[in-house]
Amino acid sequence: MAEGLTDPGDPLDSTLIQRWKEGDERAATALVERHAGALARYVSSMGERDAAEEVVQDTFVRAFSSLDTFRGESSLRTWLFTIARRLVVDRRRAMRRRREVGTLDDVDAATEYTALDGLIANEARKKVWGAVGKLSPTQREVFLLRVNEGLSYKEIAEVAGTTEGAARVHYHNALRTVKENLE
Amino acid sequence: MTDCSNIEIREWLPEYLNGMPGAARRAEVESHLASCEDCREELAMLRLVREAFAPTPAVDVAAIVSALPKRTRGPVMRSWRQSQVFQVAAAVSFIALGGISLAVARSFFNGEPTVVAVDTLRTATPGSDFMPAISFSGGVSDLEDEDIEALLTALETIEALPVTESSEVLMTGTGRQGS
Ligand SMILES: [Zn+2]
Repeated sequence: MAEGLTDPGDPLDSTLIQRWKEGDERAATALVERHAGALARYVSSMGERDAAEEVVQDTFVRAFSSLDTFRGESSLRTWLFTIARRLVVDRRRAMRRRREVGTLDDVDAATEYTALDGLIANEARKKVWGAVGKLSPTQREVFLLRVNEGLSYKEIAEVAGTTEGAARVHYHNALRTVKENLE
Repeated sequence: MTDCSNIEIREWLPEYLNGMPGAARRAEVESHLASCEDCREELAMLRLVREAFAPTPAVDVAAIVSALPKRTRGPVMRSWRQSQVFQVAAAVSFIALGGISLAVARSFFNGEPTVVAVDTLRTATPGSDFMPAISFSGGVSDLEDEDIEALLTALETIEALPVTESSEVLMTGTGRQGS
């Protein structure tokens, strides 16, 4: 089984949310344990590895502050990813204003991933980062949400503010590029 | 690495990798993988990508949980107040009737099934500490939180007083309180 999966016997997110609303603090711990890892990986893959823990914490604080308004039309997971994404974009914007660097699209993926080099010295991984680094920011985001987290196109569309069709196209273009660069 | 023409199966590979689809779908994907080298290669590549982004940056679950808004504020506080107001109102009105068995107030606090027993002849001990605290005009719901707490503290002292003999069972109820 892959990491971060819920056992069929585990309570649903909606059940845990209800328990937390009724004052059960352990339900909050269970929800954080269930989703924090995937959120940290996502934030990190958006080039915010150093700030991942902070962004993930802010994500949960914001989500829990407005859980009363969460109606469950989308999954909790999708909602958390959406909040995390907004926080990352806001961070980037603030940083850009301070440094007067280019737009989000100009961020050089290769530079982002070289920041990871010190953490894991592994040729295969470096090769993957290099291949993924060749993708456009949108392609990269869609591709990693799909491959790393198993999000559906519908969920990705919600998180990244695009359409299911566009998400599918981005995924397949990304898949082709990564394949070519890994061969 | 060539692309398999079975688009449907290929679309399921990321979910399969993340363990998402149901048992039937998993079996279908596995049966296809057994006979398709292209899909096995594609899955291996996807797995490599997934592993390249592990390990996940460390997160301190306890620190995150402690930063979350506390559920005991807000709505819960309001329901606490409503509950206390009800308790005080119940206790005070019975005391006003005169000579409540002190066990009655206690059973309301505990939220247990309540048998209200009334000794109609006695009044609450005059001059005891709780008397000034309950001499107010207006409804209990007009009280501030501090007043209610003071009142509850005063009512606590009732329990220390000798319990009167019950002479008559007036009513029964569940004494249930909102939680
Ligand atoms: Zn195939």
